[in-house]
Amino acid sequence: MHESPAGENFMTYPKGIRSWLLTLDHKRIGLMYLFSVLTFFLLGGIFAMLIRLELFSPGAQFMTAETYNKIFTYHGTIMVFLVIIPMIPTAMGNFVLPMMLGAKDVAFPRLNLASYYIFMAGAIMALCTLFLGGVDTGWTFYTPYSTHTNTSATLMLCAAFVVGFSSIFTGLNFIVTVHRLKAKGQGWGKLPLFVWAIYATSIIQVLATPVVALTLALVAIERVFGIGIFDPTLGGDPVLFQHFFWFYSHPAVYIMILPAMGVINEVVPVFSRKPIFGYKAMAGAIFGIALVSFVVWGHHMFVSGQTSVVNMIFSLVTMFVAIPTGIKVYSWVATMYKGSIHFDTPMLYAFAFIFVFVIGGLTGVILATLAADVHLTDTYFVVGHFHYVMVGGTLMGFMAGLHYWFPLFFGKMYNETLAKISCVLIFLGFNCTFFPQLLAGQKGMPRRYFDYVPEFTIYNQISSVGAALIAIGFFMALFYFAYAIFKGKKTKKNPWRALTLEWQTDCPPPTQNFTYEPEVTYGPYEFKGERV
Amino acid sequence: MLKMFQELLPVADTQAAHQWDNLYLFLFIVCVFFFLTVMVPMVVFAIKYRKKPGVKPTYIERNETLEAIWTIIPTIVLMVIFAWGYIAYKHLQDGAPPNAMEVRVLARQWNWSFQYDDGRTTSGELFVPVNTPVKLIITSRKNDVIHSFFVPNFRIKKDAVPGMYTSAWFKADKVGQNLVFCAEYCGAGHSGMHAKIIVLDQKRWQLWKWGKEIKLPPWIGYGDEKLAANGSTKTETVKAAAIMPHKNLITQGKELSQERGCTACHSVDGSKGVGPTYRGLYGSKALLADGSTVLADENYIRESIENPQAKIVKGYENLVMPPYPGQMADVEINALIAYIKSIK
Repeated sequence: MHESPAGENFMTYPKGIRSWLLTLDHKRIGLMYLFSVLTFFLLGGIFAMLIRLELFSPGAQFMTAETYNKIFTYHGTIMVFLVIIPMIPTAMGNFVLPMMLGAKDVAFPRLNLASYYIFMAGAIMALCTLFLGGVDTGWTFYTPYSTHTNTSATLMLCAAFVVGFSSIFTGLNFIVTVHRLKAKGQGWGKLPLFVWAIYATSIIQVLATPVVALTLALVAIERVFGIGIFDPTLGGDPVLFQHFFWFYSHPAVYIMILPAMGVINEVVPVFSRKPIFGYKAMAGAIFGIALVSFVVWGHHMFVSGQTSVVNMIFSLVTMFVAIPTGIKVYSWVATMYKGSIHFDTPMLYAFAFIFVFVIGGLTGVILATLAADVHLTDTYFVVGHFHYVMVGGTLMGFMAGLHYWFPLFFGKMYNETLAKISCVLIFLGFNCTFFPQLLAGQKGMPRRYFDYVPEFTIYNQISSVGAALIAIGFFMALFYFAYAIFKGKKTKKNPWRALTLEWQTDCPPPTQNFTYEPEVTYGPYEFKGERV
Repeated sequence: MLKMFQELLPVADTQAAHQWDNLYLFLFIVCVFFFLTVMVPMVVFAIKYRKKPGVKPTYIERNETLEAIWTIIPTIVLMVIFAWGYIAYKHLQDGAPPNAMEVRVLARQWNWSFQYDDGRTTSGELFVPVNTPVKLIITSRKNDVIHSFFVPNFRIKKDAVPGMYTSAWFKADKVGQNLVFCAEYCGAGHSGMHAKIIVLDQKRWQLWKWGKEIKLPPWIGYGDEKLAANGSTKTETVKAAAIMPHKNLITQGKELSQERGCTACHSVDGSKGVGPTYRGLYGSKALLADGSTVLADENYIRESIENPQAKIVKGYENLVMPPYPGQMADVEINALIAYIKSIK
């Protein structure tokens, strides 16, 4: 590890494109992930806009049903595997997690770089299918459709398999980093909650991803060699696939949301100038959610032919997800009580997060209710629900984190006014897009529909208008972030006056992160000597 | 208020659907309540404790009473929700009385067809009498994909899985036509894979049953495109006639079992043949060679036809029945099962 000389930082030293591409610096790898994920986000967003345009009125607008099926497949696959799952752990986790521990890097820097390239290899494989006829299976790859379809599903399955390995490596790296590289004086009780969240996420990644990777590999094997595993004509069981798939993909939902909760855990106390309410309960809740996440997969299959007893058990267990989730939400609100709340952009996103996430969580309780799910499952209610969790939750959390750590990443400050306007646009646009989908779903509109009966028109039109608002909000963000990186004014050290270690160095940090050996003598949220 | 709420849902056309609506109203109220327990304090705090010069935040780390409250109360409410949801589900899913009229639903890309006890098959239209419990035995064609039979007006939905039987039931309160969607993504024709359940009064049901032309009743709730545009009460003038079946389903099954040689080994009078008897088989608990028992339902019988070695009945370990995978069409297997079911 080279140390950057005085006056230089990790961005400027060492120089040259090669020094970036072969870097072992977790901060540079984090930024490489950030830009890659944002590129995929743009791509997935374009597919989303095409969906909303097509659904603006009933009947075919400007594409065929086959094309539409490919477009929603790419929207889902890209957003899930290349954006929402990796976005916070890889970009922010890589950059911030070692710094929060006062470490110079993650435990295995080479593995970290390897993860990045494996991720990119998988991503490129996935995008190659676009030019090889496309894929129309949906991101869930349900068999026997995925074994029958003659689109390039095999390559897409392999791509997801490869991306899975990147996820496993990153998870492993973070687990070891948290265990081995904590700062002097930093016991488990003094870890920032973001670290706890990433740690729990990493455990899920390491335990669950192999199952989905193997499942997708089995589908690929079935397609290529005709070995009957899931296809009933070959003697397989199509419902077995759903069990395997959701055994990973349900925990994956928590891979998506836990890191976002971690970000909110950092933002709320800093901008309320108060300790996080109930640190132990917060850390415990993270693990409660992670634990329960492994035993609820059957709730995706209430109408798949599972027996009523199995359904009952999965419904009951799913209810328990809501309890730790509720603890977290109430604790965030309690953190604000008698605080001194600063309405900077990260905090606005935290408010937005809590608002949409509560709707996402409560609609989740409705779906966990057995009878209710029978009517609502596979309708737009589910689409609305998981967008409230994944987009409303993860994306709002990501935006909170990006605005919070942007000065640390780049040493520059963005335009606060534009950021606030953009935040409000995204928030309003988001609700305008997805609330009507909840209504369309309860009225009976099934998901993945290229065409719909005219009763559903109004919901879809409002939804499409909302999507345009979101797009405007994100393009604004793109503009002011790009402007800030190139022409923004320099930020001072620790602009938010946070107590966690990553802020106790320069913005942007030197290559070795700290010019001294950090020692932790107080908790991450001990805003005791707070002067206003 | 209640009416407004119901406007947001499809028309409820069965008793089970009304119960579903009550549950959903309860869930809605609970959700709004808990939403407010978060949002009201958040907004109040955001205003009241916004940054003010000279005001210092109060240092609070935790409050055990509060934490206990927001752990215990939601837990109790969640258990109530769970219990209600399960009870409603038991009725919605498993509440079919034993004398329910049975209809076999067969899905394929991209069509629904219906096979009745009297041997008739209809495509895209399911005719049923009003106020009569109907049990659906659902499957998807063997080399097809998964579909899902979704009737918004009845609040029922069940996957149609190739090679496997699932079931659903309903008892329609109102005469009329109800739209059926496919709810599991199944390819290019997914969003057009509609069917309708046509609920007839007893008179018209009898007429239809005997092959007479009848006037179709009006749509209930949303219908197809042209009807939705004109409101939902318009009566369709199209007439439907049923094609009279040659033989009823049980006779079809009986003949099949003779053609295929089933009855050479499987007796129908309870005597022990080369294979187990058909008599009293359906609904019984079959004792298997490995000591376990299995309920002899549609799925068990189907598996025993297509893959006889999968579950061997005790006492028949050394006998090998030739498997029939893919040799019999789904409609034939349905007929055979109907026949076996009839031998009590």
